[in-house]
Amino acid sequence: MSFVLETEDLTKSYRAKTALSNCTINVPQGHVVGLVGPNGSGKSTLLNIASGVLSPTSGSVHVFGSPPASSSTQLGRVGFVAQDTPVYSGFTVQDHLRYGKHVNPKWDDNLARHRVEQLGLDLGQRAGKLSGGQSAQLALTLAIAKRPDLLLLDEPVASLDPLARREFLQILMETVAEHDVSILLSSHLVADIERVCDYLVVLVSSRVQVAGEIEDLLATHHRLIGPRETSPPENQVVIESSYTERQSTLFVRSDSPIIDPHWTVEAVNLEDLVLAYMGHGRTERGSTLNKESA
Amino acid sequence: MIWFAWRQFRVQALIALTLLVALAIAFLVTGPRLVHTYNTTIVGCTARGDCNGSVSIFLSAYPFLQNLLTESWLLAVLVGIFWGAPAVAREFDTGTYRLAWTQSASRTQWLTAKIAIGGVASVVTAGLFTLMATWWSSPLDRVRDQPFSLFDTRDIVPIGYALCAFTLGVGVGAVVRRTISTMAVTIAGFAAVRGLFNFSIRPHFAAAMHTVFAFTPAGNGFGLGGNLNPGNWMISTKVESAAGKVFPNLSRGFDFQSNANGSTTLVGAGICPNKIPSLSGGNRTGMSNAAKQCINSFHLHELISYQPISRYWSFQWYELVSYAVLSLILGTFSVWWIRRR
Repeated sequence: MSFVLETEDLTKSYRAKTALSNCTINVPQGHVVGLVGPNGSGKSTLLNIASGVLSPTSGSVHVFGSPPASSSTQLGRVGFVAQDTPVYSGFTVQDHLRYGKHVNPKWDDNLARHRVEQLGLDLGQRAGKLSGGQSAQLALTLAIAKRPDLLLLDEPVASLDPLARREFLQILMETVAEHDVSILLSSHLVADIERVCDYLVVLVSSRVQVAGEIEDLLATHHRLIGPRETSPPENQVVIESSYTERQSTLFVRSDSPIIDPHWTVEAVNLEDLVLAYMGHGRTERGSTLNKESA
Repeated sequence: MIWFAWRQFRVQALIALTLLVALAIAFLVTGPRLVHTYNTTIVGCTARGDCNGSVSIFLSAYPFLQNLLTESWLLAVLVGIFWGAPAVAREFDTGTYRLAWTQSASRTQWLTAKIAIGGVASVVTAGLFTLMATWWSSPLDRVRDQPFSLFDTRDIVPIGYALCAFTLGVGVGAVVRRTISTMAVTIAGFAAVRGLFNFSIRPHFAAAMHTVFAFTPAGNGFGLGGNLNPGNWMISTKVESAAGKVFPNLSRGFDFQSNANGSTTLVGAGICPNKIPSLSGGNRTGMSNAAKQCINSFHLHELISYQPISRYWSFQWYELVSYAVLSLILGTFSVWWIRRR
């Protein structure tokens, strides 16, 4: 598998806090990758580093084999829709397209104009007067029309209402279908990820908890329900467990089928999976902290 | 990129142009009247030598415009806070830097274009402003004949000021990243730079010239004027005794103090050998002579350092070039700082 984004021990620290610490992650090519994690897990920092906006404090990061923003070609290969989808409020929609054309050699003006028309945006309208959904669409249009090979989106729909959110993701999916572009999208809303992504990365405290194609992940994770005193079946990795007086509920990963009469096997959905790994990441981190303090 | 920088700057440029046009109209209306008054009143009274009243009336014409031009370094501050400070800081405020930095054109090009457009605009605006200001106030300045007192508000220095304030705003914005704080720091920073130049750098562009005046009792003071051009820039004056002892308090005037034992003290110098008779006896001449005798006993002379008026234009150029170099450093720093983020 070839990777569009590879990082190793990537760390970004500021004077007072560390935003990302020793993050090692590989994002495969040709997927719509959903990056999920709780607030403060480092998603946004990772995307800002990958797009070249931030430079890391230590560790290595490669996008298509080169450091981010290392050349004009490199910048051209990566499109970025930053958090809160910034656009120039004093510029009209037309100005934005003209700007995109001026600063991107691969700019696809037909694509941009077609998209703006499709969205029903008025070319003479100032971006400051667009609705949240419209300016997000404008930001996406700019990122798509530069014809990148990798599109990074940092919580692009976080501030949008449900309808605008659906439209945004719809356009995003159309883009993937039309152009050969890999996408890395961060969100803390599993529903959004479910709608558009085919690959999942769960990031908790800068650590990748799980990464893989969503279909495979769902096929290899199960919820097991069984009597309290029974030991879990063999060859299982227990991600999370909860107990009542009489029964145990285990969230496990298993590559082989589970045949154990003591346990009832239930299928899981993406939300279960994400929550289980987030919980797992938290406890793992908690135990590390305890060890450190001990 | 230049198109982008210009598109962003357009409104600010338009506002500046409007203000410049308004000012030009005010100058064009009032300027010829000043010239007329100068030609009809001042030229004549100078020839006759009875100018006292006319000059003060002439110099108080159009006080608002005159004050505006006396404080015209304010132009640089306006350029710094309204053009320089927002250039980078506003992009951080609104988050648009993330849009700008992820286009195929690098952030170096992005910033260079901004500095180029804003820098050229600052130079042009300040150039036009100072051209008008210098032209309009030339009759007044000719009467004042003290070019060094208005050194940084006339001729070419304001151009350097504006460019420097602009690049200072850009550089501070790159570091501070908030428009309002950047504006505040830019004002403080520019005031500091200007203060440094006015008090510590400009007086030393060339070694000051010195002249010594002995105390002349007949003239009741040091020297009899005359020898120094009033347009020279006085750097310092100090009073010394023949032995080389400096009397810092004497440079401003003489102050006598009668002592209880009948002697007199020349404040700042020492005790006189003679007693100065009191004025109540009506002996004005006696008192004056005694005072002169007292001063003479210290063998005083006055040392003056000054920059001659002939250096005015070379100083203008030195200052302009210094500010231009400073601007270049600030611009380079901004680009370096933005690149390393």
